[in-house]
This record gives sequence, C-alpha cells and structure tokens, in this order.
Amino acid sequence: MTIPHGFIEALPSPQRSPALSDEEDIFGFLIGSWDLDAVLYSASGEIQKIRGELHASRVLEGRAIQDLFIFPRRADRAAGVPEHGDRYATTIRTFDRALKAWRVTFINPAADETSAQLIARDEGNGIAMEGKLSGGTPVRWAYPAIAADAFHYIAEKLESDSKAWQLYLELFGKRSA
Amino acid sequence: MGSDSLSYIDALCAIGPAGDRAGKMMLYGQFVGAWDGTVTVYRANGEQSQSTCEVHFGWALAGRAIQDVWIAPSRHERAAGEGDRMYGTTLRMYDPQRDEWQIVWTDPVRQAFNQMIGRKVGNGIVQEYRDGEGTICQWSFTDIEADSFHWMSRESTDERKSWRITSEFHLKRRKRPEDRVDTETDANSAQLRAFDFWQGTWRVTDPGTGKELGLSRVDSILGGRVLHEQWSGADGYRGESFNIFNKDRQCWHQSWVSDNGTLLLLDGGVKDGAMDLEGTAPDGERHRIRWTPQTDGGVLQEWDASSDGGQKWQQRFAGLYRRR
Repeated sequence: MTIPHGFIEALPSPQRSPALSDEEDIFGFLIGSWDLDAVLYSASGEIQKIRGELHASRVLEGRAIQDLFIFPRRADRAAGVPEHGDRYATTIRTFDRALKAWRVTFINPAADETSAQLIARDEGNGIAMEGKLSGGTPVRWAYPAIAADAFHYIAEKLESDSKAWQLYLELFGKRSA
Repeated sequence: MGSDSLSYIDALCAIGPAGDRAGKMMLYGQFVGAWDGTVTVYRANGEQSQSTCEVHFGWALAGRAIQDVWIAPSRHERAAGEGDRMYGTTLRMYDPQRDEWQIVWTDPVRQAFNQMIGRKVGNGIVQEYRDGEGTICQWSFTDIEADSFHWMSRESTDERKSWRITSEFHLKRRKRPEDRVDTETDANSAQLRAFDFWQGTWRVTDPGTGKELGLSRVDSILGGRVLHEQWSGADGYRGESFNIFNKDRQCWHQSWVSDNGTLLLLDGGVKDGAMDLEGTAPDGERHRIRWTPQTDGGVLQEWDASSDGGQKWQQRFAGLYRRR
C-alpha cells in the first residue's frame, strides 16, 4: 500500500483562497509546524506535561485549514502513549458564511472523548471558541495570545456535576525551527 | 505543495490501517485511491444537473481514519474559468466501542457541514443524520466492486415511508501509472509486490532489549518497481538501499550503500514467509538478511554473516521495525 498521489495533490493548497478576506483569516497564523509543550490538568488536580507537535496547512483550494495535533510527539511514541488523553488528531477549520464565524471540528480517534466541535471568533489579539466535546460536555477553547512565532492556548470544560469551568489542557506553541 | 504542506502530509497520511482495527478499517479503506465519474443532482422541483467529478481517498491519522476529497467538476475537464461546484472533504473515523463510523463532511464551496454515523449494511454502507428540520438524510455506497461503486443520497420527511433521491455518483477507479505493473504477467506482478510490507516510516529497536537502534524510511518509487530504503542509526551510521525485483534474473536484489563505504549486493526472494537475500562480500564473507512481516504490522530484520562459507553464522544485526 502506498500513499495515493491524487489525495495529497487534491487536499493541501499552498495559498489562501481569494474568497477569504484578511479579516476572516483568523487561523492563518497556524500555517506551518509548531513544537508544543502541553500541560494536562486532571479533575483530581494532577498535572502532566507532554511534548507535542502541530502541523497546519491550507486545504480545499485554500478555503479551509487542517492541522495535525499530536502528543506525545511521533518521535516519543515508541516509549508508549498515555492510557488516557493520547492525541493523534486532526482539526478542520472552515469559515461559515452564514454564521460569519469559523467551524472548528476536532477529531481524535486515539481518544474520541476528546473530539469536539466548536465555533470560533476573533477576540482582541486572540481567538475564542465555544462548543461541545463528543459526549456533550460544554467546552471553551481560546488562543488568548498569538505572536508571530508563539501562541498560548487554553481549553476548559464544564462538567455536568460542576458549576465552574475547569481548565483541562494548556498548550505553549513555538514555531519549529 | 509548499514546504508547509510536506510536514502536514507526513503527519496526516498513513500507508495502511492501524494494526488493532485493520479488518474494520477496510470498510472505507477499500476505496483508498483515485476515482473518476459523474454526479447527478436532483432538485425538489424536478430539475436535474450533471457534472464530471473526481474523488480521492487516503489513509489518515496513524491508520485510524480515512480522509477523502470530492471535487466537481473534475479539474481536468473544466471549461476555461469554470469554478468549483463542490470541493469538500470527509473524515471517517472508526469507533471500536460502538462498531460504527463517525463521519464529518465539510464542503466550504456549498457551505455544507454534516455529521453522521456510518455502518456496513449488507455489501454496502449506509450513513445517516437528521437535518435541522428533522428530515432523515441518508447517504449510501452501493454496488461496490474493486474498480467501481455507486453513491446515492436521499431524504425522507415521513419517517422512512417515502424517499426522494437528491443526488448520485457513479465512480470508476482511476488507472494510475503504478497500475502498469499489475497488468504484467501474474507471476511477475505477485513478485513485484512481495516486498511491499517493508514500505513505511519506521522506528527500529533491538528485539531483545527494546533499545532504539535507528529510524528507517522505505518508499515505493519509480512507478512501484523499486523500494528505496533510508536508514539513520542511533549511533550515527547512515545508509541507503535500492530493492528491485529483477525480472531478467527472476530474483529480488538489494544494493546497499553506506556512509562508511560499504557496498553490499544481495540476491534472493521470498522464502518461508520472509524476504531472504544473500550475497558474498569481496573478502569472501557471506551475508544473509531476512525481513519477516510480523502479525502486528511490524517487520523483523535479521542480518547474519559467515566467514567460513556458510557453516557457522553470526548475527550482525537484529531490528524490530514499528511504524512511526
């Protein structure tokens, strides 16, 4: 079996579609490769740190953005992957003209309970997202700070038995050399 | 593709299904490759429109998902200035707990965002969701053959009593340059594919101790006739090889070269379920390397050498290949 040439030729696009304006292109900063320091917070207060990687490209004639979101990194996976919360996942981001916002679909077959669908809007210098995990738990994600070569990301959820939003994942991304 | 796309593609694509669900993955895995055909759209007012189309399926997410791209009209059959009517992608993820597929379809052109569940039904596949008005929308793959299939979408507003067909695709598998090798004599084409199990990007460890020995990448090149191996040892040793089924001599051959000046020429073929290649170095030392596919999708490589003409063999290298 090989990787079909037609698929990798039809999917990624080198540039943004003219259908997307500068103002609408809020996720354009992600294009490229990033090294991640991920911090996972469990409900019981444990903190776990894992290194990860993120690779984003424009796809579908530059009308959408897809990324690969992986932790532990592929280089570290031979040593094993965590029993819970492994990520070998992808995100598809598409601008919804009716909503005037981005639809963010996060798909993680390595641990489907982390899969989520959200709506994203720009907010100040960052991006705010609201949606639900695959099991229905409300989540809010944010890139509160985006610089040219670094970003900070936080993910919070609201469990049904809780009144307070709980931080469950934090990422510190640095553009790969 | 730009350089940004290369690392994305490398992380996205897999060359086959994940080992722990390989059989189930073939429900959609059978479509991996390129397809051409026609799409017909049936509107509620009775009008219909037809267009050419192309569809591309690939393995994704370490072999746990399949992603595809549906394009209409076909890019190579457009009139000057003709735009996209459809340019969307599906992510299909198998859920082992529920034994069903989670499917997400996104088409920015038509602003379609659909989520649905897919299941094997008979020899076909049925995917279903309810839209905002409660209409049952059903997308199905039927008449699935090795090189053709039919796809249809229909909807029911009366809880399945009646259905209205909304569109259908008729698709045929595209003949790729790689397919040339399949049209040769049966004996040759089986031989040509005999080492394909070694293709991939690998992490290689000592089968005894688990110690990391290096990274390997084996690509199918030159229209599927040659396997190109690139080895990068944890100790800094680097080497590459070309592997080919030599049809004139009817045997497999490997030429291995390395950064310490080694040239190793090996001949052989499949023996006892392994690729078994052997050769004699200029100093008379015999080398024998075997690659044995493992049931979990890995490959065991064993390299033995003999300096007494093959009476006593000593292991030079043993490495267990695991997909990265």
